[in-house]
Amino acid sequence: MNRCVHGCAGLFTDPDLSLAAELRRLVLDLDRMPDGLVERVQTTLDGAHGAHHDVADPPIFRY
Amino acid sequence: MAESTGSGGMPWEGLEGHDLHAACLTAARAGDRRAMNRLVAELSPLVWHVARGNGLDAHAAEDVVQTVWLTLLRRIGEVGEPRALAAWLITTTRREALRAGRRAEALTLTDDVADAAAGAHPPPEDVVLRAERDRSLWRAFRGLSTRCQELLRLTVLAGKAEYRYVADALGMPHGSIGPTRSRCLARMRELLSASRPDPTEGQA
Repeated sequence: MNRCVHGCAGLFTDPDLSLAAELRRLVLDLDRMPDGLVERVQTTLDGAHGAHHDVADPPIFRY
Repeated sequence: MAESTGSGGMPWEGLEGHDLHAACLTAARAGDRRAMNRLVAELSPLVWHVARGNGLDAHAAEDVVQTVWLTLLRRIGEVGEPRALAAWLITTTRREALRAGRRAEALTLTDDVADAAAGAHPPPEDVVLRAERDRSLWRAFRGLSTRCQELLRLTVLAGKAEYRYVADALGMPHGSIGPTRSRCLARMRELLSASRPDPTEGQA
């Protein structure tokens, strides 16, 4: 339900909506995952595969 | 079972949530590196926020993210139910966070982060006010239980339409996510109110 009577352009008068908006900012902005981490993980996994390709456990990746 | 709907022939195209995870995991088990890369891109924010929610500082959380994915690579055949991959990652991340043992004793919002969050070039007084507000927000959030922090982080990541994924991942009844979230927000509001100065103070 839209609780903004006169529009929601950045003005949250409902305390629940205001706190939810601040929480979103905290999670998605202030404490977001560092840029480049996904790429670093993918590189690490590629390296791990290369280092252990003779071990039966890891799958042999292909593109 | 997932069906391929995309033009690129990747069986996970067009899928979302558990279906996407299951299709990618199945393909990764068969050796498809693109599938593993997709999982890393899709689920690393989840791993990151679980690590942070369990008290790790940013540096330790990065290490844990790496470790969790390496663990999945080593044990990719041991994840029982492919659709439960998110739950498996959460459990593994919690375990690794405990093992890391580097609790963020002074886990505070740094000035750098506060400045970055304040926008490109706001007036200096706005920067100060916003940084202080962010610190209050951060203190209140860190005052919540680990369970509340995890749940709030994951519900933000998933969005309201996907609460069922959060419930599955956290092993909670679907219907309890909303009420639990409300209680956690209420507690956060209390902490936030307690940490913010009384605006009437100093007047009159």
